[in-house]
Amino acid sequence: MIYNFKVTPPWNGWSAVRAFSFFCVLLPFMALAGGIFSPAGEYWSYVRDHLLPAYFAETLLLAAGAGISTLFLGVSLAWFMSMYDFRGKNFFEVMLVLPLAIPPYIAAYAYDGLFGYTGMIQSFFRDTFGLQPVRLTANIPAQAWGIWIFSVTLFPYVYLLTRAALRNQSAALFENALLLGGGRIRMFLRIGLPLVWPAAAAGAILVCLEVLNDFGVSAYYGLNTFTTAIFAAWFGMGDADTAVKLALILLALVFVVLLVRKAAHSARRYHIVSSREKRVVPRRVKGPPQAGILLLCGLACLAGFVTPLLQMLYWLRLSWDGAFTSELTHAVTYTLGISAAATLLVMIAATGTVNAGRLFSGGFSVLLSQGATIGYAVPSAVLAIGVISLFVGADNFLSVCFPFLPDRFLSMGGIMLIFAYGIRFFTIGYQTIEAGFAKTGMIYTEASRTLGRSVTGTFFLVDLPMIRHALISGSALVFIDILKELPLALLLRPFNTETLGTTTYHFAKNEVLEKTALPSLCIVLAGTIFILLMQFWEKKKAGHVSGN
Amino acid sequence: MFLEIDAVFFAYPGKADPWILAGYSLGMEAGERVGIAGPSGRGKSTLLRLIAGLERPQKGTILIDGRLVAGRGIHVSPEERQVGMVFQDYGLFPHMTVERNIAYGLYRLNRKARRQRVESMLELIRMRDLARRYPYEISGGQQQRVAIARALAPDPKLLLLDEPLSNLDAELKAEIRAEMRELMERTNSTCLFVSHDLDDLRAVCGRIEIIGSPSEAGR
Repeated sequence: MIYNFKVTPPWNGWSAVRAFSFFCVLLPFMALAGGIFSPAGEYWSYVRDHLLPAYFAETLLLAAGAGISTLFLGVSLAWFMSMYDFRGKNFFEVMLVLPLAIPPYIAAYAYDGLFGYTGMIQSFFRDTFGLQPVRLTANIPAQAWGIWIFSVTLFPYVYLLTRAALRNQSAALFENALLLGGGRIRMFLRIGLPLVWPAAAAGAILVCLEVLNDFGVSAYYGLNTFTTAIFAAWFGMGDADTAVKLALILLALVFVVLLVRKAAHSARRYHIVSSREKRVVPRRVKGPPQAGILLLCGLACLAGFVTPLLQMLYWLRLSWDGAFTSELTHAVTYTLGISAAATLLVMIAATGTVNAGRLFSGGFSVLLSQGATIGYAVPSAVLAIGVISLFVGADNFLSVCFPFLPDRFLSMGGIMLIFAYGIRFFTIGYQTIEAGFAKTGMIYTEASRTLGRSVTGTFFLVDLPMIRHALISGSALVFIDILKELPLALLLRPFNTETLGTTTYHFAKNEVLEKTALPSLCIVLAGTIFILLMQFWEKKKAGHVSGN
Repeated sequence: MFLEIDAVFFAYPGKADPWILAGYSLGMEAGERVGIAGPSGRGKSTLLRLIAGLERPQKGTILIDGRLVAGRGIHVSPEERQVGMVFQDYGLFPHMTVERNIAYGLYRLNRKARRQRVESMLELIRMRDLARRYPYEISGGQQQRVAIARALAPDPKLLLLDEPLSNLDAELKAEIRAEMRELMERTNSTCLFVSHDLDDLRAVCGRIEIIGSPSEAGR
């Protein structure tokens, strides 16, 4: 007799988590898209006729400038660190990643303070040698300062991706190139560069997206970028329609950047094969080559991490008395609490989405999983406007259906900010969890299921312990990024509530730069500790793997 | 028939060759040990994955012990099929000790019964002394024995073996073949064994079927 028993459903709780994540990401953009058809505000015609070209020019200049300079710096550092062995290399392995702990807006305050009229550099020359002050901050264009700040703080994106790509290459490729003649420079230009180009370009695109997302640096230097324009329209002119229209143009710009990336990726006619062959053994250098490499690495660390840190410590000494206020304590508590809540949300949604992607294949499945990761590419100012539109609409709906609820129940609390953080940083959680699952593959999951465990049982008993490293690294990365985030917090935080980022921003805006030290150092310290711990962990893991 | 595979078609999405299995049929009696030989890429492992429920056939039906488990709009999930599988790379959970790996599929038993079953499986594979070791602390041959013990522990209706000897060196292989045959006889398992090596199959199985060109098999 033929009879059927429990049948696998076409969907389950995992696919529901993924669908929910996808629609949460999509909703703010749908709310924003409504702005295309809304009537233009009074301010819009002035912006369109007089300011729009400047917004385009300045935004593109900053993005291109930072992208190109980080490409040069990141690729050369990655090449030297992967291909050569020199004194102090281990130290620089750690130090070259630390600029990621410094948010660009904090570096901007530090550099302005350092090179300003009352800063240490000018004071030293004035007091020691009696030299007339050189107005560095005034004579150098603000755009150049902006590009400098982005370059020295964001180059690790290019450096890390390029270094990983180089370390994945077989030594035979480079050995063959050397045997065929032409020397090391030709080997770099003809073999090394083409091989790492996709990774380096991906890093530079990330830098461009960070620049398009930035508000703190542009606002501090008074640059006319789309993000500052959105803030000016929203807060300065009180014209939400113009802000929405600017946000939509910025969104279109981001999609152009993403399309360029996609086109560049599709145009590749070869694939880099990650082989198990012998990896590159770094060549020992001494004398002038070693000095040159040390100089480049040292300058990169000095510019991206040490200088801003020292300036902040100097300011901390100046502002020590009265630095520990109840407002600061509240900002620390609130920032830690909201970062932890948003990190938890991101990691649960990301783990559910990735696991659903493993369990259900097909085009629609890929669309749902990949669609949910769009948030990171979208600038915070754009996302914030979408989220506000969504939450205000939801509040209006709730006030009609549930009149007993407090007024502006959703949009006045921290929920809106947590939701926006969730969308913005979902991609980071998703990618780390996906990488964790990619390392373990499906074999353990399949083995568990043939031993009678359900999908969910397998997840908790087998999958979760196997991806615990990815889960912790992903949580740390998301937590650091939320801690550093500024534009979303500025636009979406509840009234009378400050985060560490917004506290720093307000001190800088009010030109009390010394007071930025303590909140800035809290952010930098937390970021540095996480980065150091992760590096230590990565090394331990690498040692463990090679030890096996 | 204990296992009935009837005109099964299967293709992986996006592959140039549309069908990896095109109308494949196979029958097996209870207690029988059948070997499936054939060159690489002809669907040997896919056949086991279809029987285990890890893939869904596009056409055809699969019945285990008279129950329809795949086909005609039905797909019974792997955990419901009572089929044990030994993977080519064994798939031993690296974060669990040998005894916890074996106990993994015994969650329906109470603690005492589970303990007894694990003890008897450890006895069967002669690895009592290594019960507290982690998979990376034991040899390839020992890992293979643990994988078989883990698959046999829940007393599956059907045991699927996917090239479990392919990662072992020649000397160890000969030893393990004899052990496997003895294990299968002692547990009276119904077993479907896939390998590209005919010597492996001859050592363990009573019947051998060929997938793909017979002339290529066993080279």
